[in-house]
Amino acid sequence: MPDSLDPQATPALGAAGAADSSLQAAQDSLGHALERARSGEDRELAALVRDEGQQLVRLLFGLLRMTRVHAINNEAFEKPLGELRETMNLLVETLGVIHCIAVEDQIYVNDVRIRFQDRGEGGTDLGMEFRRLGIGGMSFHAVPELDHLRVLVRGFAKPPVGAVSREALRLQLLSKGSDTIELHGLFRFRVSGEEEDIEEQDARVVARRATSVVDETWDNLVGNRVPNPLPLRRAITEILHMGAGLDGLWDDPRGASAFGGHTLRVARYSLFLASGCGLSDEAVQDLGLAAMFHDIGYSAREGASAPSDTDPGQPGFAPPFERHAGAGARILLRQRGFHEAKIRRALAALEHHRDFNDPKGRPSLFARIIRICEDYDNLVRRKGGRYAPPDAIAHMVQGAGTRYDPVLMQVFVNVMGKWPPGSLLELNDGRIVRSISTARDIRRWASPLARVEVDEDQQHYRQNFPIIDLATQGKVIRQLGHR
Amino acid sequence: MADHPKTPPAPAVLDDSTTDTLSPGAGVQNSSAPSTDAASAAPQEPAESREDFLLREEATVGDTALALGLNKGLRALARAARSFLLYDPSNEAIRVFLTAYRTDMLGAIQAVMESGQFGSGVELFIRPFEMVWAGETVYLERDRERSLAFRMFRDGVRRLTLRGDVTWDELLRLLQIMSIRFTGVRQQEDDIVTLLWKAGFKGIEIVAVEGFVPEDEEVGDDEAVVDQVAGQGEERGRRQSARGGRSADARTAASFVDAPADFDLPIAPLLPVGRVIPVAVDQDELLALQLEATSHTLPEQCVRLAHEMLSLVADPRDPTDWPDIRYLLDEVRDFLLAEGQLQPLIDLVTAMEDMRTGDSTHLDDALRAFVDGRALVRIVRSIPAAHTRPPPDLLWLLDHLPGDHLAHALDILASERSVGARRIARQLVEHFVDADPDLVLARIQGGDPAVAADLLRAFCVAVPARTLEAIGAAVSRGDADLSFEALRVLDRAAVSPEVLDLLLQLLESEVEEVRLRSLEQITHRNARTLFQAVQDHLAKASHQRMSPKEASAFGTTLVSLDQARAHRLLSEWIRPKSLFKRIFQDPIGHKWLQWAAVSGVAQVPGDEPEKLIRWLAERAGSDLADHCVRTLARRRREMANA
Repeated sequence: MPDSLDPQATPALGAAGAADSSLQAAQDSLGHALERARSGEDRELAALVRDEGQQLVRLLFGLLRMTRVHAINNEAFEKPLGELRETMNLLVETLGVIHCIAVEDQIYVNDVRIRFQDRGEGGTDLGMEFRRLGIGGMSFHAVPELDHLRVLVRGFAKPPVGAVSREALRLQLLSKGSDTIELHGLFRFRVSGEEEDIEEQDARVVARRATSVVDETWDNLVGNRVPNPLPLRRAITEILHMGAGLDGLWDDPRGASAFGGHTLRVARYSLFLASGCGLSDEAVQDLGLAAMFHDIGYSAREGASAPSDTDPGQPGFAPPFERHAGAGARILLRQRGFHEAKIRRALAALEHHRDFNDPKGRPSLFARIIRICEDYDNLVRRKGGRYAPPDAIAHMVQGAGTRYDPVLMQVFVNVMGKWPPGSLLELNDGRIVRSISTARDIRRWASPLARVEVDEDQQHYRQNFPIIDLATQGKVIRQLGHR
Repeated sequence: MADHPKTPPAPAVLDDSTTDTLSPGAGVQNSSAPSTDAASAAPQEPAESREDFLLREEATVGDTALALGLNKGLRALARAARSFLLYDPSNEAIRVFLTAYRTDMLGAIQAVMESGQFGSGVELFIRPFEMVWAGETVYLERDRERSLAFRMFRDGVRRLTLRGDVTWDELLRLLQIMSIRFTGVRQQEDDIVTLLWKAGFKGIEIVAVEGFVPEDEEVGDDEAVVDQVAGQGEERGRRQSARGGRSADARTAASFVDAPADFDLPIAPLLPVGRVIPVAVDQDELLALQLEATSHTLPEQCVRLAHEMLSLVADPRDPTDWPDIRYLLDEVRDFLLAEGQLQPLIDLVTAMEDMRTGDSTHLDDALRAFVDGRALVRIVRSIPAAHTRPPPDLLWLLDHLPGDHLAHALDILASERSVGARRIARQLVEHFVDADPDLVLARIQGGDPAVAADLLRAFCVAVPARTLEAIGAAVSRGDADLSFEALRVLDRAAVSPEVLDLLLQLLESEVEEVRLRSLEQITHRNARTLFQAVQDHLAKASHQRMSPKEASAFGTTLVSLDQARAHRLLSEWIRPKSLFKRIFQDPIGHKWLQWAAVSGVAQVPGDEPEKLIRWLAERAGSDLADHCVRTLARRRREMANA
C-alpha cells in the first residue's frame, strides 16, 4: 500500500498485491469509527434543541412580523407570546441559557444550526429582522417575563413605536427591569487561521473567555443541567492555538472568579505538562477539557430538592472536599453517549486527588497529570498556600513516587523551569522582576522571560511592564517571599 | 499555484430549505430537479432506487487532464462517504469504493505534484455545490444530499489542501470524518472542526469556520456580549468582586451559586523541601505515557470508571445512586461489545456481581441488559471468522448473566448471514438448548428452513435422546437443506426401525440428490427389511420424473439388500416370462425399471446376468441399449480387475 506520494514509496500505486489486507484494515477502521461516532450521539438532546429551537425561531419571527400589521397591544400577540414562553421554558430547563444567533444566513440555537423546510418559516428572515437594529443575536438567561417579551417584540416595530438601534432596545428592556435578555452585535463566521495574528493582549482575552465559559458551565451544572463540553473544548482549542505557554495566559484572567481562575490555570499547566510528555494533539485537547472539568464536583448540590406546587424546594449544599471528586464524575456522566474523552475526564475528575501509589491502583494518566497541576496551583494561589512558585515545586518533588508520578513530576520540573511563572526575583542590579515564562529549553531552564516590576531606581511599574530575558541580562540573587 | 489566480471562496448563499433528514429519494426533489410541471409532462421513467441515487456518479468536470484526475478522486471520495448510507461498514461493496478512492485520489494528487506547477499541494476552495482548484471547477454536484461540497461547506469547511506528502492513512481519516457527516451522526462531544483538528493532519490543511466573531471589532461596552456569544460563554456578569467571587448584581441569570470559597482546602500536609533540578526523562518512559493516552487503554479505563462508580453507589456516605451510573454501564457495555472486548466485559460483570447485596433489583436489571439480543449480536459479530468455537469468555459471561440467551441465539441464527456468525450462534444454541428444547423443536418445524437445518444439527448434538423426533420434524417439511442435514445426522445414528422409516420417508423427497443419498444409506445399512419398500418406491418413481442415475441407484440398492431376490425380480423386468407382459408393458415406466434392472443384475456374478443384459441390448431403444452396452463393458472390466 502506498503510504505517501513519494514516487519511491509508491511503486505500486494501482497494484493490488498486499493491498487487500490494508484495505480490510481500513474498512474495519472506518466501521469502528462510525460505530464510535454513533455511540457518542445524544439523539434526544440534539433533536430537542433542533425541534424546539426551530419552534423558537418560528415564533419569534412571527411575532416580529406581526408588529407590521397589528398594534402592539392587540390581543393577537397573546397566544404566540404564550407559546414562545413555553418553548423558552423547555429550552431553558434543558440548556440553561438560550443563545439564538444569526450569522450570515444561518441561525444557531446554542451551537445547533437550525434548518427549515420552507422559506417563510423564519430561518434567514429572522436574521434580516435582527440586522435592522444591528442585532446579531439574543441570549435568554432565564425565561423572560411576558411584559419583557412584549417590550422586546415592540422594539422591532417601525418607529416611533419600535427602537432605532440595539442600544435603544437594550435601554428599553432595562428600563422595564429586564435583566435576562442580552442583545448581541452582528457576527460573521471566523475561519481557522485568523488567530495567527492575535497579539499578546488577545491572549488575555482568550483567558477571559475561557474562564467565562468555566463560569457558565458552573452555573449550568449548579442548575442540574447536562454538561456541554463543546464550548469548553473550543476554549481549549483556542488556548492551544495561542500556545499554552504564552505569557498572557499565565496571568490571572481579569474578572475571573477564584474558581474559574484556578480551573483555567490547572488546565493550562496540564496542557503544558502534556505537551512536555509528547502526548498527541488529540490527547492534549482531551486532557485540557478534563482539567477544565476537574473540580466541577463542587457544583453538585447534596440534599437539594426540586420545587413543587407545595414545596419551594431546597437548594442543597456543595459536597465537602472528600466527595467532590465523585460528585464531579457523577455530573460528567450525565452527558449521554459514549465518548473516549468523556470516560477519561470522568475518571480524571474521580481520581485527581489520589496518590500515585494509592492502594486502589495507579490513577489514570489524566488524573496523575491534573494531580500535579492542581496541587501546584493550590500551593501558590492566593486563597491556597500562597507559596512562591519555586517553593511550591520544591515541596512537591519529594512526593515523586508516592503522591506523584515520578516521570510526570520530572517533566513538570523540566517544563516549569527554576523560576516558574509568577516567581518574584531580585536581580543583582536591584531590579525586581516577575517570571512570566516557563522553561524555554534545558539550557535556559533557570533563565525565563520576566517583566520588570521595580527598576534600578526603585520605580514601581503598574502597567506597560518592560520585558527582559534573564538569559541575556540580569542575574538572580534571590527569590522574594510569597506570591 | 503561481500561474493560476486563486479563486476566492464564494460567499455563503445557502437557502434555508436545507435539511439533515436523509430520506429515500429526497435528493431528487432538489433545486436541480425539473419542476413538477416539466416532470409531469415528461414521459414516465421508473423511479430511481435509493441505491442508484446515492451511487450515481457526479458530473465529470474539468478542462485539463489534471483537473479531470482530481475530479475523479473527489467523486471517489464522495461516493465512498455516501456508501455508508447504504451498506453495513463490513459490506464487500465498501471495499470497492475504498479501492477506487485510494487509487483515484492518490493518483490525482501524485499527478498534480509531478507536474511541478502547483506548489506543495492541491488547494481546493469549497463552495456550496462545487470545489475549485487552480481556477477550475473539479467537483460539481448540486444535489444537497449527494454533494460532498455541500456537506463540507455547510459544516464550515472553506478550504481543503491536500499536500504532496499526504498519506493514505490521512486520506482515510478524512473519509472517516466525511462519512460520519454523511450518515447524519451528530455528536455532542465534537463538531466537524474539532474532529478535523483532533485528526492532527500533517498532509491535509483545512480552513474552516471555527465560530462566530463580531463583524465590528470596536465592540466597546458590548465586548463582553461578543465574547460570550463567540461560543465562549458569558463574560458580562463575571466582574470579579473584591476577593474572587462574582458580583451578583452583574449576573443576568436568575440563579446564582458560587463555588465554595474553601474549595480544595485545606491543602495537603507539606512534604519536606527537595532538590529541584532538570533531568532529561528517558524516552521509553515518555513513550509509555504516550501509549497510556491512546485508545489502547480505553477498555481498561472504562471498566475502572464503572468499577469506581459502583463503589460510590455501594458507599452509604456518597449520594451516588444507580440511576446516576445506569447510562455509563450501558455505554461501557456497548463499547466493549462493539470492540469485542470480552475480558474487560467479564471484569465489569464480576465487579457488578461483587456488589450483590439484599436488594439486587437494579443490579439484575443492569446485568440483564449486558447480554440482551442486541448485545449478543455484537459479540457474535466481533468474533474473528477464524474462530470456530465460541470463546470460553463468552460462555462464561452468558452462564453468569441472567437473560433468555437461547432465544437470543435463535434470533441471531435467524438473522445473521455470515457463515462464521451462524456457526457461533449454532453452538450457542447447542449450549443453551437444554433451557427449552421444545422452543428449538418448534423452530425446526416452522422456522426458516435454512435456519432450521442449523438448529437440527445443534439440537441433535445437544439433545441426542430426541434426535429422531427432531429429524422427523425436519423430514416432514420436505425442504432440501433440512433433508440433507437429516441425512447427515442419520448417517451417524444407530440402525433402528425408526431410522429406516425416516430413510424411506426421505425417498419421497422431491430432490433427487436427497433420494440418492437416502438410497446410499439404505445400502450401507444392509436393511433387508426394506427391500419391498424400495421396490415399491422404484415402481412408483418409474412413472414420475426419474434420471438414469437414480434408476441405476435403485437397481444396485435392491441387489445389495437381497441379491437372490433382486436377481429374480430384475431378471423378470428385463425379460418378462409372460409374452403378454412383454407386449403390453408401460413403455415409460418399464424403461426405467429395466434401466434399474440392468444396473442391478450387473452386480450379480455369473453368466446369466450378462446374457440377460445382452438380450435386452439387442431389443431396447437406443438409450437403454447404450446403457446395456456400457454396463456390460464396465462389468467385464470390474470382473477382470477382481
